[in-house]
Amino acid sequence: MPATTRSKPRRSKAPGRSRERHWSGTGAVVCGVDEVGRGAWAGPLVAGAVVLDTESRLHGIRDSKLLLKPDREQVAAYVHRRAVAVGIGTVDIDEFNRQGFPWALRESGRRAVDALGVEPGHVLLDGRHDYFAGSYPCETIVKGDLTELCIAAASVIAKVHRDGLMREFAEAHPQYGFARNVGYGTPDHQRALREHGPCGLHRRDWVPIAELLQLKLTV
Amino acid sequence: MLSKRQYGIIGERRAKAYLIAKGYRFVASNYHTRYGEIDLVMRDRRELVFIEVKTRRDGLAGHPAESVTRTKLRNAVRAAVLFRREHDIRLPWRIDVIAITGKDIEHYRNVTN
Repeated sequence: MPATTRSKPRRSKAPGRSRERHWSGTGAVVCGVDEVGRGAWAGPLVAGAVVLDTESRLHGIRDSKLLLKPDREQVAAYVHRRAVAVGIGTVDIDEFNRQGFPWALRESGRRAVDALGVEPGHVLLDGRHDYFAGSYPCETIVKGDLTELCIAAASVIAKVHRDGLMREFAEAHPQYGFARNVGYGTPDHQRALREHGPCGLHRRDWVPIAELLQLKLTV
Repeated sequence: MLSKRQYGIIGERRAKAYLIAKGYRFVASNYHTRYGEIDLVMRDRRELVFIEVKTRRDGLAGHPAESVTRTKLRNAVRAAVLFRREHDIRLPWRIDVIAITGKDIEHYRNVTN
């Protein structure tokens, strides 16, 4: 089917900097925060925090999910090079299993912001839920990873950092293919789980894993 | 008894879980454009996939895939084109339909080509 629309081709609009510039205009240091590993079955939860120079022109930054791996690594290096400040917050699997998902989510974001080295005057947070709850002034932006440049930048550095960690873990637990699936519930990961059961990197009481292993008993 | 809307939301979540289990990566859900909403955007290896999810509680009102009309598909294509342009994505793309009837789930790949 011909993929045509009647509207004229417009300049790509996303991700933009409108919220960042808005808060920056009030004199605040603005940082974007996004976390990765939310839906994974194994491995840490990693959040990124990025402060950009509102004057600098930046190209090619977009949500980590829209970048192919080699491009993503390049963009991550670019963000590290060009950003005013970068912070990464990691919550490892033991903490995750002990404290639970909501805590881990909050903690990863806070650690990322703490790691910035500057106190942000305003946080732009991907999603609907403000887990900073008053510790920093914060605006949540639904689909912020697609629409705000600093959040997209945060998603990319967090993703690349987490993938790197998973590659290291893959050496200690070669049977799960962590280097490729980075802990997500892909077919090869599922096969390995059925065969070997979970390891110390897997989320305990995680519903999809429980369902998968249940399946093995009933089939 | 769940409302139609609730059934729809549960269907979309099941579709997402189903595709992740197949190795797809999640990009966005319920993405609004002026040509209507894209239920799910995911990535299947190098390809960007736009997914229309149709949920029916049972087969009594006909197969869910029947309600995906030509007009809806045309709007889905327009919405997909818009999404790619807005996010300046050059990956190849396609449109899939996921039809859920009660507990059954069916996946139709590349319905517009």
